[in-house]
Amino acid sequence: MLGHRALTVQDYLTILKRRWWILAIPAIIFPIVGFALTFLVQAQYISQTLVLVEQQKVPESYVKAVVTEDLSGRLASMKEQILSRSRLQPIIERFNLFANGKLSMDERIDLTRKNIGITPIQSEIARTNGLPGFFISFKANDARTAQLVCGEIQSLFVSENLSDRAASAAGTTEFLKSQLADAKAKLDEQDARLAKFQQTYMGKLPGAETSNMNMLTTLNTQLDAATQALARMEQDKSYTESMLSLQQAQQSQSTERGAPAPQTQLLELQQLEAQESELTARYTDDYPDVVTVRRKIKELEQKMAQAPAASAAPLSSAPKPTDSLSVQQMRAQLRAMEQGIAQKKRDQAAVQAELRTYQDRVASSPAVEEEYKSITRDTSTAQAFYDDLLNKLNQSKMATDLERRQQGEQFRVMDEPNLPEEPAFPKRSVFALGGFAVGLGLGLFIIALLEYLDTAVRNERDIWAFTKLPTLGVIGFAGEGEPVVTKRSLFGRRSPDVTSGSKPLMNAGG
Amino acid sequence: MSRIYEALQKAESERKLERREPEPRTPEQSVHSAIYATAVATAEEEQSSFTSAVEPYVETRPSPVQPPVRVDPNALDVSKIPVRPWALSLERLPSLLERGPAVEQFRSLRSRIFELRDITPLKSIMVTSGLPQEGKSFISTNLALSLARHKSSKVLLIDGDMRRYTLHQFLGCESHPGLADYLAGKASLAEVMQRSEPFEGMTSGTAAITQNLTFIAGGNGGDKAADLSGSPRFEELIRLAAPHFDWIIVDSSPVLPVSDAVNLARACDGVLLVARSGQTKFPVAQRAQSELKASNILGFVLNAVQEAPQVGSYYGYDAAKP
Repeated sequence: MLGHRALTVQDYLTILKRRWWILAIPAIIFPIVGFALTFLVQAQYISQTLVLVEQQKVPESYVKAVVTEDLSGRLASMKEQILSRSRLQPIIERFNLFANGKLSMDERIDLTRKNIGITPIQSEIARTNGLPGFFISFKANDARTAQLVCGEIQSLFVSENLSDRAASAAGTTEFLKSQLADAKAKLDEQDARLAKFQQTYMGKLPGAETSNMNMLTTLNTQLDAATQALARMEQDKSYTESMLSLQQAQQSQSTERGAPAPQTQLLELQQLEAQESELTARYTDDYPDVVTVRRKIKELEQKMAQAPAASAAPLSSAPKPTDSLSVQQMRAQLRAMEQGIAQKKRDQAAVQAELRTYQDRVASSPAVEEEYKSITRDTSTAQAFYDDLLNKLNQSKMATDLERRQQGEQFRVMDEPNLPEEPAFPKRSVFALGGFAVGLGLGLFIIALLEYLDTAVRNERDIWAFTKLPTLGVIGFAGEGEPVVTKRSLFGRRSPDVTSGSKPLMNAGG
Repeated sequence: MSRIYEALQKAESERKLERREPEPRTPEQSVHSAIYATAVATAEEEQSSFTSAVEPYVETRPSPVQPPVRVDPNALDVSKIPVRPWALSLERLPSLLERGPAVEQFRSLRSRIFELRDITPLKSIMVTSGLPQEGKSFISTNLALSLARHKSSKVLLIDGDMRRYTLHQFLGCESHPGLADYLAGKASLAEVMQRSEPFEGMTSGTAAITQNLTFIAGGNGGDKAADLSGSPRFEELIRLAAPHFDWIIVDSSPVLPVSDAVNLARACDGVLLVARSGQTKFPVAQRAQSELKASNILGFVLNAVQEAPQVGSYYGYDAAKP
């Protein structure tokens, strides 16, 4: 009735009750067939090994790892390398994999690649970004081969990783070394420049200003002192000269009675003139003191003019044999004084020259400072770069050493490749289950087909659906037509007084 | 409860029938018809083989007051119905049992028919189906017996399948003279009817049922069956028999291969279609229905259902344990 009218749950149940055996037979036979198939299909064994990725043993804060690429990326590149033809071909030849005779080497390599499985372990406990390890599996037609090849691939991975890391670390170190050499050359060049500069602009460099200023002030005071000493010495000299001339005059007076020495008059005049200048500075010309002083000056000048100019013997320090002892002493004094004055004058000139140099330095220091700064900046940059590189190189050297001692991150084989006891394919249980499912499906299909083809009415619902007529009675199966033996005995037992069949009980007519 | 209900129904229907009684029953009336006259010889020849003594037919129903009316020469004289030895086949007639699922199933079918009778007048019911071997005869016989369970419920069972009549096997009696003989005019109505004589060892239940059952066998229709089925005498038979019986059950041939049943159906008040569960295809059922669209199809009876509803279980009947 399936497909001819809408069926209710009850209908489906009755169909199942009626045809359960169609469902049951394939559901029993097919699992057995599936199970039997597992013996015919070529078995495939999977050997698996677990490789753990161990963190480096020295904390990162002490030694930074040189290889910082994400493990998954490294794994991928490693996988590509390992699955390359050059790596796989020796393995295939050694273990004679997939040697069916018909396959070319390329096909065999492809097959081998397909049968190698590399699956990372995803773990929550390990690092968040990485994976603490990975499984390597190999599928082959017999267990031993699977195990051997799996081990081979695993060792390839481990050694590849080690050499890879070591090479990477060594490469880093080498690179850093070359960089450091460059940096050092640069730094030396900068240092030479700086030294030269410092030599060139010695004293004008920034930082020398204070000492320059100090020197300036001291030189200034020295200059002042020298000038004052010179003035004093000049005075002394002039005084000594006057004294000498006085002595000579006295000598000559004692001989020639010379007029009073004009020297005193001169001195007097000088004093008066000084007085006058002082007074005029303070007072007007009508001031009585000024007037008196001016008059005195006049008188003195007149006196001096009146006095016959005594032909004064030239004052010389040259001793004369005629000179007395004191004069000679005087002369000697005068000579010493003259020498002292000359010396002082030289000193003064030297100080002044020095002063000029220092003034020059102070003036030119800003320009020098600019250049100096740029040079020192370059130098410090080069220095910093060099230091940094040096630091890195040291780190790298340590890391390389770490790798060499196998203390860095490395692959540790956790489980050696196992010898698979049962084939991974075909799984007996899966085949049996699949057979069961197929059997059920087939059974259901057959039932559905039969039900579709079976258009016989079976219950009131069918009759109503197709004829819209009510069903007045439902008569159970009474086995009429072909009386059943058991039923007959039942009836016989039930009512032995009634005959069965069509034989008359009492043949009245004969 | 159902029995009380059925009794009430019965009383009701009887009252209706008495009101509708078309003609008075005239006992002690001999049959003198032309048709009968032609068939006397063969009938008598056949009668010679019957050695049973005719017993007076006892009317259980109170005879109504007989008004002076015109007497039909062909009127049925029930007292003339011969009594013959039957051997009821219990295997084929489960409705005869004291209890059991079949008894209950036929009883519920009977109740439905009573309900239908309440809606429209219903006396003669033809049982047919689309194809042979669907259980027409089984249903009709058991239905007749089930209807005859009522006291004072007179049932006439007619084997209308004149080509392959089988009802006599159910009842364990002779197959002729039967309907074909009557339709061919070879026998009178009373001659083709037969009733069971009580036999030794018959249970009281069975006896009470067979008392109320009158049977017309198939008779030897042969190839003429199709022509005979179209005969107006069948309608006359129903008309004549109707006053004397509460129910007339007509078994018939299947409708699809032959047209006999369609012809007979015109004379009946209603048609019961039989479908055999798991065997009758629904297109067959539909075609049978369309063949009979001229008649009043009461509904279907679903036969040979493997898991029929246990109608009697409510009353504590156990089908397995009698």
